[in-house]
Amino acid sequence: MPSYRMPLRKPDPKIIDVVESIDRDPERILEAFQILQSRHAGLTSEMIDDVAHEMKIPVAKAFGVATFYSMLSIPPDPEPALYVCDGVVCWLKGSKEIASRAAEQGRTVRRTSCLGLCDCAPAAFHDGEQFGPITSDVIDDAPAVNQTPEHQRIFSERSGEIRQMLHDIEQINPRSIESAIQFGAYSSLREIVENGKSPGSVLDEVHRSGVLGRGGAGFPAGRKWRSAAAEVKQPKYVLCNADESEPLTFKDRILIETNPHQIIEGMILCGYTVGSSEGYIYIRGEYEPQARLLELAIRQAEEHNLLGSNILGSGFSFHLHLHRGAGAYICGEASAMISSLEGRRGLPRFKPPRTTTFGFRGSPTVVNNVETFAAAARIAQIGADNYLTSGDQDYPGSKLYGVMGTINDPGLFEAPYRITLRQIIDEYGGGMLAGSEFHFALTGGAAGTIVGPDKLDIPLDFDAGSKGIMLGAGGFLICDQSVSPLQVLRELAFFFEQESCGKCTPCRIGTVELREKLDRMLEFGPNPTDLPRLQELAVTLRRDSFCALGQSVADPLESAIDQFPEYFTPEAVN
Amino acid sequence: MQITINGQQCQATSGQTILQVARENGIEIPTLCYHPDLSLDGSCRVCMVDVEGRSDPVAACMQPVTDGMDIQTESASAVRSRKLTLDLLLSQYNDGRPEQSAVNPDTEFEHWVHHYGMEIPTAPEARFPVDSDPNPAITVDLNKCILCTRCIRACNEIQGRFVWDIAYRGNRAKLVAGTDTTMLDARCEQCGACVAYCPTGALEDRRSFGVDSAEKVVQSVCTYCGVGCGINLHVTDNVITRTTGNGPVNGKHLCVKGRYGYDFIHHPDRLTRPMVREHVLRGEKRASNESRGAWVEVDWDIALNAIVDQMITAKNESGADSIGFLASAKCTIEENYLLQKFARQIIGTHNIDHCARLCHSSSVSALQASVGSGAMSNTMDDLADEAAAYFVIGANVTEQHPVFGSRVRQAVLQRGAKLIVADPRRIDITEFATLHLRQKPGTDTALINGIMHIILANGWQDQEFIDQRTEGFDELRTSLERYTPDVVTDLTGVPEHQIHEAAEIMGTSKPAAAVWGMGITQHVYGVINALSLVNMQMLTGNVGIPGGGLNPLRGQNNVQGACDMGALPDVFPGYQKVIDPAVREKFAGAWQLEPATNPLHDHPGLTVTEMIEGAGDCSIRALFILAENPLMSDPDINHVRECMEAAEFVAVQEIFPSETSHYADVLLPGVSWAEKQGTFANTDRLVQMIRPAIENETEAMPDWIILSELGRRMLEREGRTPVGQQAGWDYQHPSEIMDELATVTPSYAGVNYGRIEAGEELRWPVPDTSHPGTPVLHIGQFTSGLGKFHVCDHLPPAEVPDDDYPFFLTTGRVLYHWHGAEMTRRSQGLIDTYPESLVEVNPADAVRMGIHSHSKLRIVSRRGEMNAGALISERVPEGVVFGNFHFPGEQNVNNVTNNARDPVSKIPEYKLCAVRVEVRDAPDIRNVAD
Repeated sequence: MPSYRMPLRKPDPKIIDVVESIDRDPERILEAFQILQSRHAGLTSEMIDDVAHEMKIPVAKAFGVATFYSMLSIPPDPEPALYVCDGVVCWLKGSKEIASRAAEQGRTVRRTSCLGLCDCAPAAFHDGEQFGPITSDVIDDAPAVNQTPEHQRIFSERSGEIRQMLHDIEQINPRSIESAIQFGAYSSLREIVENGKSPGSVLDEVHRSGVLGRGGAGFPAGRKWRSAAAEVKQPKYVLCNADESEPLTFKDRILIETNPHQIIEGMILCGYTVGSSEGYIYIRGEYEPQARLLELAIRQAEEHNLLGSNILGSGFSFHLHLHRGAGAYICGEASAMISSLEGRRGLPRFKPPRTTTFGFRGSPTVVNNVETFAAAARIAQIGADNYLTSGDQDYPGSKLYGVMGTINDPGLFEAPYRITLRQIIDEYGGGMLAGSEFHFALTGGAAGTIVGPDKLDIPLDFDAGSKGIMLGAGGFLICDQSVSPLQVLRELAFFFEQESCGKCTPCRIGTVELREKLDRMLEFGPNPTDLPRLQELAVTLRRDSFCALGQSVADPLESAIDQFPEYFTPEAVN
Repeated sequence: MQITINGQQCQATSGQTILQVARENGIEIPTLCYHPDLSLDGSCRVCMVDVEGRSDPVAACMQPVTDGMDIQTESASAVRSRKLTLDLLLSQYNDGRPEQSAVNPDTEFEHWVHHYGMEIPTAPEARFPVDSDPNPAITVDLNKCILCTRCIRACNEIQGRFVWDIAYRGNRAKLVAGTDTTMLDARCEQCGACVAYCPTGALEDRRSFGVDSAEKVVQSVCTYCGVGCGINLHVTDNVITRTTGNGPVNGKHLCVKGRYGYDFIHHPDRLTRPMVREHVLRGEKRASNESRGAWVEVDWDIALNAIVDQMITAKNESGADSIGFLASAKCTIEENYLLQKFARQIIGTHNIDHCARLCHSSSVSALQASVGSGAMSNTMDDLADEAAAYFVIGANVTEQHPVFGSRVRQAVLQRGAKLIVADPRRIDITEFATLHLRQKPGTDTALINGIMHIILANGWQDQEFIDQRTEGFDELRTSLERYTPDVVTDLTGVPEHQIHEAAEIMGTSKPAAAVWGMGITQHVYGVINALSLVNMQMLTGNVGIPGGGLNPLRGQNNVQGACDMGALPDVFPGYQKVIDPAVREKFAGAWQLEPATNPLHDHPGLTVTEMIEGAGDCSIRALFILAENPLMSDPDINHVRECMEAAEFVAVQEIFPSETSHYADVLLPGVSWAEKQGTFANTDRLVQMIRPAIENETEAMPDWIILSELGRRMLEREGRTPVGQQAGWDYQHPSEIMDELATVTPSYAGVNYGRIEAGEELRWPVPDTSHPGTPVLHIGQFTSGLGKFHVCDHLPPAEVPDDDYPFFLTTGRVLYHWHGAEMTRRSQGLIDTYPESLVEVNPADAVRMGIHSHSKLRIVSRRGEMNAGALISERVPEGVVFGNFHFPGEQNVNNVTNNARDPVSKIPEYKLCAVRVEVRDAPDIRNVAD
């Protein structure tokens, strides 16, 4: 039949309503899909077809976008699915068994990569709410995460902490802007406005503090802001990366839950310094309660004229939007995040040009992590000098750390740079559990290193990777003798396989081969060809992958091979 | 700047990529996802190279060079990684071969696998169904897909159809059409661009599937439309196995007909021997008009002599003007030159015409009268690349000139060019239109006048251009005064604000191009319609500039060339008028024969429709038809049939038996375009060469050989000998015909085979052999000196709906077929896609009349009726139905159309007549929209 002999299907009026509700803006197509997902527990091909036609975008493109995100179910589920986390921490705590028992009980269960609830493992997500720790018998009755003792642990400071970003969290009411203001929120913004401080002088302060980006790579935020400020093209954008999806990492969630205004203020200051009047927070879809909290905070800040047009009568305007992701680790990569924000599949983009030159909508864009904006706000408040004198002499400031595993006192804390893994376990983490012996740790996240005892005393900073141990996003999983590094490596490989965007060959297929090989090695033991092939794979992944996701798969792989070669060679196992 | 690649110093310029510099310097870097025609993707990672001083390698296809860069493309580590990447792709690559096999270097992917000494491993388990899409022209096997996305980019960036994308994520990622449906459901037009750019064979031409690489590849020109796409014919064992795009107009691109409409060449219906009716052989009159009796296969002598006999009889008894010739826009420039030379020199008549009469004769008349040259003034290249705005009226450009249509889409998508489409139908290109003016059928002049009224009211006209280069402006201005927006809205049904918007775009964009087709020309006031477009373009100063101009898109592959060669009753080759005594004298000399016969008339001969009517009343006693099929393509077929039945003698030269050859007395087998040499002139006057790709192993002969044979026989029989310089008929090669015609055709004076073979792109006029051709006409001055404005007034069509015939019928063609469809109905991929005649009906009319999507309709006019399936679509407005003339017999819309003609150009009013729509089956209102 000719291509135009198409059925004359009138679009469903309800879909027209949805499309109208997002102003028929193709950039916001993911929002349309999210609305449909929440109403129908998923999307049908017809819905996607209708949305595409109504928004005048190609159907294949819309289908490509819809199928990219794991929180969208195509076709729909019979009921909103229970997403059980199979991140490495939850896996260690038996989430797989819980998931299969729930499925046996007739629940619609879907696996999900790390939910960012590692402090409440094993965790689950259902219909916009987070749960954990869950057991097979109590899922619906499990406490919401911020009610748990595990979560409450954050409010008492550990010995050795320096609390800058976490200052006063035990007193601040995160749902009240007055409370935040009482503890210093927006004071630096107000001061800047009232004293007519120039953007340049604010930028100098941030730059002088040397504050490092907290997404994992440690790029100096001041330098990034400076390059964006130097761009003449307008408009410019400030993007906050709250797509915290790195396994072992939940620091950004805690920052949002405890002091959302600090992050917002950091973004406003960034906008002021670089000459941007519009910002977006890209928050992962699984952080729905946190997204609601941020929405409340944004509304409050707008009501107080701390956000929006002509802030505090200064003539400076900054509009802040919240964008929810829909389940894709890759969207934490800055250029993939921008693609996603533009209504496309969350694929990374080639650089150069850098995002500070050619970012969101092709405009100069600053993308920083939640923690970076929080740190910047705090620096503006206390001054670069105070920041520079805190923490390690050579590596000033503080950093959020999360520690999990077979230790006595897991959780999140804020501490100086250059502490060691041994300190994290013994001083901050309360030591190994009784009967547990340190075997190895996964440091920095999934895109991190698997290290044995000989790395226990290396000071941790963003350069420690060259010594074989990565700080990354600051997550640490401590494992005792009961856990095999090969098993952890397999879980990481599975994670990368699930979360690869599929764009480039090494990451798309290399992660599959890696996981399949590890599965086989775990079942049958390694054979002599495995090690050389894995080494080759690691080299190609690091060398030739398109973006940091694929490149970083080599980190845990190579470090595990280096630290635990006996697991990769036949002789040792026998 | 200078960079070093593998130790070799290379010059480079800023903005180039490593890959570009490497290729310029003959250094090979493997690529898969890269293609120079497409945007960059950088996903396959086989072009990763090492750069001195950088810890990470870079993708050569994307990495811009910097001064002093030192690059190693084949370092040990690069090669190791590259091989691993290929190995990963191979681990999921299943080419359907059960055993490990030697690589097939046909595909880019297998080429590189082979290059690095690797082998296609024993096929892993198939991950996807093989041949997963039922598409008639294209096969899909995702087991060979490496997700390079070249197909997606080709579809988006060349064809502009957006059929494909990648869905899902990670290793579940896969290529999908639409919502993972079939290609046709995803609105694929089957242009095959995705196939052309696929480096693995995951997408393959269905008819070429499994075919080994060709023995030879012959460059030619597509035989379908006037765009003139260069086409490579891939040949094995004297069979065309594949076509690929390769030409200055189209690059690698082709449309569905060009790519998948070639297998008619090998169709069993092909004529293989000359045939003559039994009664002719016996020298008798036929028994009755109803039947011409049986065919007898004969040799060439008998067949040609039968024609010569009848022509001599007719000429001697009734004079030269009792013989008529229909030339063919499907045949070459050389063949058309020969046929009109035969008519004028040997027979002595101007009774020669061809289907240009039926398509753009009104454009030619209008352009001749106003600017002095009847052809498209600009090139498709400059229109596509430079027009700031397009005014496309009455041209279904994406279906009728698909490759140009796709370039207009890209101009809108990539350059943001403004596009006004004025068409009663919601044709495909309207999806890309800035503005779709949906005028009532037949109200084009009123609409254009209304636009000009507003342009003048706002002072948007180009007064300098008007003052210096035109005449008749004051009369035009006065005449436009009465076309106020309210009057025009009333006449056309186009809302006032849209007329304003159109006027603003046309009045303020420069260059702006007017592009039109048969929606303008095929009216009883077709000339007036075309003149009003000339008025608008001169008013805004948009003539004689790249990206602007007057652009009638010519239909047939060589309709421009056939016109150029004087296959028209009023002009010799090069539009030299038969009414001009000096011209007649020139040709009398050039073509002089001894003894000479009566000099040629000083008035034009008969047109196509007049000759057929003449055959009907026996004033035309011998009708010679070269590859035309008036029984499909002329209006009011019933009348044509009556005439042909009555015709005394008809000779047809064809490649297939046709509806017309049914009425022939002699049938001569010609060869297809793939079996002969010659030239075609495309719509923008570019003269291009077709070359024989296969040998016709039957008795069929190239038309130029048949015609020259016929010429020699006539001269011999009449006892005349050539005397004039260009009078002879002994041609050994078509290049000799070109050389001859160049001497008598000033606009072709500089055209010869040597220049074309050397790759020169010659667009006439080419006044001498050192002249590079003339891409844009009327620069600085009109061919006729000053451009003439003509007062054009709105007129009603010849027939309007009434109580008995309440619908307007408009006609045209569809993407998948070509005219009478003698070729496309015999091309499997095309006929499978569009197998029957369909009439488009608006959904509101369908609901009212109980028509559903499987309904069979009867369309009835005062002249006849047709049967067709219903295509319920908002493409047509309420009260209008649309039919095509691709299917013969009862399915042909020309059973119904009106033979009323424009008084000047004699074009019939195909575009409008009044009809009644009847439902032939029981109405089923439940499924109206299914």
